Amino acid sequence: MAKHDITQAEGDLYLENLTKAFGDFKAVNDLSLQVPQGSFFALLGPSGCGKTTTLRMVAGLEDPTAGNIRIGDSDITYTKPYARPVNTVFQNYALFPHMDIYENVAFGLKRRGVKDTQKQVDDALELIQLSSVAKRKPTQLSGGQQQRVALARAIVNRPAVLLLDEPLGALDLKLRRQMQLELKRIQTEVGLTFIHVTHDQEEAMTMADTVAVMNEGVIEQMGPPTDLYESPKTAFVANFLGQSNLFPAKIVELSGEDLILEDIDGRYIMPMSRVSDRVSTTAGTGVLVGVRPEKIAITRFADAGEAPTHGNFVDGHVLSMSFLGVSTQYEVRTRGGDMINVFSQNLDVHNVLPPGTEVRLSWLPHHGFVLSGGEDIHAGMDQAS
Amino acid sequence: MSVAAAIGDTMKDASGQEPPKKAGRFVPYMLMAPGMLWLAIFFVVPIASLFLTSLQTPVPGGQVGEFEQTFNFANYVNTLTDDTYYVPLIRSFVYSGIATLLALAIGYPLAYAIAFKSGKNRNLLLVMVIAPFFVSFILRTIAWRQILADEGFVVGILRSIGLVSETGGLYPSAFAVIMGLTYNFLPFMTLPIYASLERVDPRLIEASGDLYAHPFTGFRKVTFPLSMPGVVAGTLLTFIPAAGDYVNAALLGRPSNTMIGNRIEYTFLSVNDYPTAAVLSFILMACILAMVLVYVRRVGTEDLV
Repeated sequence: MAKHDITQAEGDLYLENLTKAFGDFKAVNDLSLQVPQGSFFALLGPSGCGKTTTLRMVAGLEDPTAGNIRIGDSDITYTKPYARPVNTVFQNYALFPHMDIYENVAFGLKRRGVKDTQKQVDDALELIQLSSVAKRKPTQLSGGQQQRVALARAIVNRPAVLLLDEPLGALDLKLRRQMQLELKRIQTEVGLTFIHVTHDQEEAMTMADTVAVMNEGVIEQMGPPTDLYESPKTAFVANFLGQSNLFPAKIVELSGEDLILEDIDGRYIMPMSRVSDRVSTTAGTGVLVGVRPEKIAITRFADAGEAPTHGNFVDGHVLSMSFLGVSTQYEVRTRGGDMINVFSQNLDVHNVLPPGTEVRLSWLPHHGFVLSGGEDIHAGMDQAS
Repeated sequence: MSVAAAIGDTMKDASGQEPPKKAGRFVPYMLMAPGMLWLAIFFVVPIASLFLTSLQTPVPGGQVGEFEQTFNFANYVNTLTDDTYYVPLIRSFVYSGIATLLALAIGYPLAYAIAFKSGKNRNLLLVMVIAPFFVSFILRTIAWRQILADEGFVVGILRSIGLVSETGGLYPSAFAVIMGLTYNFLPFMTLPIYASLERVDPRLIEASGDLYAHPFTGFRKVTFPLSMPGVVAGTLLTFIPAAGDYVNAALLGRPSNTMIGNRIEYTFLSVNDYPTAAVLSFILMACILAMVLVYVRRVGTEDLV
């Protein structure tokens, strides 16, 4: 059989207005994004958010209902999977059980008509540090080894885009940590574009240059991991990535570069740079104030002294305290009735605050963030991993 | 007691399992006993008896069908060199070989369609594959006489388009015998192949496409090799009984289409030449065994998952 042509393409990957509907249900809804060539990109979201469907459309295993997929200048929207310069590391690895490891890795090269596969396969096996198992069958390998073989089988083809579908999901925690670093090392070494689909926020943040948080078929927010964590733009992102304290407040006024907010517990100053661009700044507008638990300082009310002039604070009492080793987690009820979580680093374990202690919580204005008041405070909370 | 052993004991208690007793060692043998006993009585004993029969010689001056126990191995040589016996033997393997290939050619696509393309009709289609078993084997074979008869519509149509001459027919003939064998053993080919294909992970097929394999190449390199256990089982389940079959040749063939099964039946029941019939049975068994061994060796299923 004649070798079919494989689309030659390189460049950034573009998804343009991509939609995939199953009946009335839109698994992916008008999604557009650009993945720069050579970057490690993570699609992060809870199960059912459409991330796997997106990946399958890029791989050619699903046809989009609408929209385009491009690599550089080549439109591959309806290119057959076997003609795309795209390879996938499947969630269950999908290694061919009747072939040995060498044959598995050489499969793609042989299909493209490469005559001498020895050198490339050897290099790929060396990259994953599994040269010794070339003659074994997949079932004779451990889960972690199979995972790496699946990676080698894809990488050896030097695809324009490499897709990873929850590649570490089946591994235990320790091996997963190890593989995260390994994947990152390999990606840096080979310089291919990696698109990594995961529901594990830690995995996404550890490895990816850019993370896109997906929910209900759309991208909630996209950016470097630190940006997403420090400046979430939606309640979903704030809750799904790590933990956040969110409580409602009203805008009092815009004073220079600062927004003055107020709720029953008091007034807060927030720099405009920390306010989501989805918030309108007219006085009286309801917003959500957010602070990460580890950015809040907790002190006994009796020791608090004068109110800090440059910080935000609320007063309340400790409801519960749990000792976590590196930190202590406090649950504090404010005088106004809001619940706020605080992670306090364990510098001095003799100084823990027992439940019932009256406390003052304070944080620097630029450590908080402001979201639109229309957001659901609990969005993404029970889905966080 | 080590900590691990202590934990082991605790877990055993928690799961309510008793430590294995000595009697437990005999449980597998007790489970095997009924089957072993059955095989001993209904397989080993008759085979031994048949083998002794194959070495008998006629009682000098005795009646037809009267034999005495000897160890006359010349019976085997005499039978193998007699063309009234070895020709039907060879014919049997030719007919059953063709029928097996035809059943594979029809059964594999059928099994493939049921396994991958049938959607929610899968169970209905499987029932339809098995449905012929609801009617007796003999009746179904006789029904083919009607269908292939000179007065039937099949021959009528074939004559009218000139595929069969005006005086020609399809029954009785070698064609009818092979067709009958193919028809009767098709489910034995289809079902094992279906069972193998159904276990092939569709994600492997996706993976082959993802790795630049055209769907046809993907089938050749991934799906088909993974279905080999079913193909081997199906061909054996078709070829072995078809080689020894005598119903199809008796009901759909001419005397010139006689298969070895018919010869054995005739020699046993009409000629009453028990030693020769027994010799034929053994030769048939030995040939099939040899072919199966070569076949399984060559195709080698032990590497498959």
